[in-house]
Amino acid sequence: MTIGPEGHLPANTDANDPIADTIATRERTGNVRRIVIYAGDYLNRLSGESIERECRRRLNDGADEIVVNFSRTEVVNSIGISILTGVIDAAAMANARVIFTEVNEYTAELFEMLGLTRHIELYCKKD
Amino acid sequence: MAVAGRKNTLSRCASDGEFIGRERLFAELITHSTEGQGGIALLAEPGGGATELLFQIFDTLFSGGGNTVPVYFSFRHSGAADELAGRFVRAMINQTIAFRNSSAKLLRAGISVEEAIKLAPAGDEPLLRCLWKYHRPQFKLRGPLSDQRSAFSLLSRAFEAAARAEAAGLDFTLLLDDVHLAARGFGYAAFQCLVESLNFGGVRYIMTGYRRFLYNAVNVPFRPVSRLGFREATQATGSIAGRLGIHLPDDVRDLVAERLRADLPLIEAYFRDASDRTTAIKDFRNAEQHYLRQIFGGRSAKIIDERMSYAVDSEREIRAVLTIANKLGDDPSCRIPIDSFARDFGLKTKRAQRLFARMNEIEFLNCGFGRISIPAGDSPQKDRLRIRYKLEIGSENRALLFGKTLLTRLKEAPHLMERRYRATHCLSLVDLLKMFSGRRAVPAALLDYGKFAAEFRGVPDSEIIGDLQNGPLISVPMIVFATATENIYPPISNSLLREMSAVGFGLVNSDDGSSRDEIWLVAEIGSKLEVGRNEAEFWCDRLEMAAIMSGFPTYRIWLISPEGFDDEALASLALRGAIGSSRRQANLLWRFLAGEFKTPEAEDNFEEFEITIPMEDNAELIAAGIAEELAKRHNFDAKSINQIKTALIEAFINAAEHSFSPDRRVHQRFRVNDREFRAVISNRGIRLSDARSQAKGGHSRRRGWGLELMRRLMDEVTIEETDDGTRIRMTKFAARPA
Repeated sequence: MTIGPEGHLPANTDANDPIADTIATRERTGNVRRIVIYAGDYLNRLSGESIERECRRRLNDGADEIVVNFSRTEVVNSIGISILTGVIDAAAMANARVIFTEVNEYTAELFEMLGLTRHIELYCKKD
Repeated sequence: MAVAGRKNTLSRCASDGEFIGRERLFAELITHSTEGQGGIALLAEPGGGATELLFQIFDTLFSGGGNTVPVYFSFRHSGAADELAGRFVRAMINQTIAFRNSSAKLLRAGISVEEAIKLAPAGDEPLLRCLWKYHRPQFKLRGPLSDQRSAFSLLSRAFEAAARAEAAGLDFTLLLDDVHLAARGFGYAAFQCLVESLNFGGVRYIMTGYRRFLYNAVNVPFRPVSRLGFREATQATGSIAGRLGIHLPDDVRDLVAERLRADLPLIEAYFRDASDRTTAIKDFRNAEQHYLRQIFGGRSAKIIDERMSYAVDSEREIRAVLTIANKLGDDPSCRIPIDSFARDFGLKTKRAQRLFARMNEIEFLNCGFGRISIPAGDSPQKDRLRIRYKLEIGSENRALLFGKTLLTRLKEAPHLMERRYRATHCLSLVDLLKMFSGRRAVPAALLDYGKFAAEFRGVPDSEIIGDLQNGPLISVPMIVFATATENIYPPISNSLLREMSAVGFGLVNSDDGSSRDEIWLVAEIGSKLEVGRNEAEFWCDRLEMAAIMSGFPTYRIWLISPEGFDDEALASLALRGAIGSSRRQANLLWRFLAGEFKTPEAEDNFEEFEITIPMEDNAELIAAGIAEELAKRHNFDAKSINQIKTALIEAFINAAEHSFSPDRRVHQRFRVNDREFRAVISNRGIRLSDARSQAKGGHSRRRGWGLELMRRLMDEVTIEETDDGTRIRMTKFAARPA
């Protein structure tokens, strides 16, 4: 599966921004309307809700595929993860796919532990 | 106990070595007497030797070469208020002068205050003259109860002498003996007023009085002075006998100590009478015969009757006490309501309540919640009451009663000692259970005899200790109160000695961090071989009955036998959720709980950090960062470090999210070495389990993930409820190379 340019931060992103700074890029591959959201370095309540809000807005706009990019994410907490379940629910209601990309191995283990991986596609970071 | 350089002035002990036990308390009291401030109350068990303790303090200060003047004053033989007031001021003055002149003779010289003041050093004379002039009683009372207000005024004035001396800079310590007699003689209000005047005046003092009186009567730090333990009591008995020139074999010495229940004044009286009558105490027959003589009317009987006079005011009250003691018999579970007894006996209720409250203070009877009972076990007091009842109310023939009682006593004596020896060698189960107060888990092999026998039979202790470090653990409750089973279920005494069964009231953590009650009932049972199924079930039934009759909802039975239990017995215990251990396991458990198994290396290598972080946005990352640094320094692998960080973040979030903490702080303690990372995260506020129970029903999908993550990421996680918050303990063991 080709994820495309969402694997990299868009040029207008400040990589040092400490909060989740949900940055979304939008692209169309074939007939799929894909939205790519970049999570911040710490996935907590604030950044999780920011991602959730952005996802819901894009799903309302007709996105078919939500890609959450965790390339910058080093630490996650259970509240942040639990909010992602809201994203998954909303996507399921809209018949959209959810893909988590560039997830570090430790975060992937947490997603696995809490059962998120049953509902999403997950791609880990390449070392 | 030896006190270097001390000469006897008041002490009855012939030599320093004769004062036995209480080393730590004595040292503390000496320090208080010379450097301390304010008062200390010694809560004395009647007959425990508190007076001699004060004498020892007095003698040490008197001849120790220091500057502190010891002033001893006893409320015994108080007489009228004016006599007592005069005696107190005289004691202050004369003892100060005796101390300044280093003359013990002056204490006993019987000279007048005016003569004594002439011997005072020039520096002290004005103060001492002033004390006598302004604080001695200015008038005489006609009788102790004739004029309460005048008595009160005299006593207050006299005791203000101490405050005045303190204000004038005299360095002294008051040693007040038998203070319960002050309340008895002049009323509780007068006693309170005396104590307040000492406290208000900043006077340094040590007071002793009956513990059941003093406990609620004064608001100063207190220390208990109980009777000596059996071993020390036998030493004291031998020592007193030796001082009075009586030589007795060890077994007889032990019998006397046990029969007189380590009551030192009674032991002294026993041997003094024997010495006066030149009675040889060579064997059990002599000892018992002399004991009965004492109880029928010797010096010991006089002491017991004197103690009883603290409680009774009239012949009618004496008869009431003797009658009720006889009704109660030997059954400590029997409780007679004061009201109904007073009605039957024709005593006014208030008078009966006062009478039995005082009988409770001298510990002849127990009195509480309007009911009277008799203390468990034999005692000279009980014997005296019984004999007096039979002679004075039953009008029995004295010689016949003596002969019959002596025969019974002689038959009983070996059994009395057998019970004592058994009790001395048993495990002290109450103390063992109390040691569970800070533990939540212990090595399973220390409790479960099946595991122990399979792994450690025949293995030396030193090897077992090493192996236990890595063995599986078993949860134990945090015991908050432990007592002899006999105290909650007296019939157990028909099957087991008091010391051989105990009950511990504990709390155990549920999986969600909340606490629930769990009561442990433990018994030490005798057996030469591994206990079989029938015997194990017999003892389980006994303890189960105690649990049911006491209304324990959840309880656990724990049996300890010298040689453990056979397989059938263990299977039977397992069916009841009971535990079976051997005596050796219990001894090892004791050592484990006392901290003996911690190897010095393991302790020394720990790095320890404490940090308190405010509950602010993203503050959890600070804790995680510190933990990461610590773990890196001890070579934890990256995965473990990440797991520790995440678990810590979750613990922090739990505290911040749910606690409504009043101080908004999270306290974290890390102990790290190359093998393990231990973290304790605690906070004040609503406890985690309470917060979870209130949150039930909403957002269920998002609840509980934090705890789940902590448990899965760390190797050990314990959630504890503290008095006012939550404490989470977590341990991560370093990954070992494959």
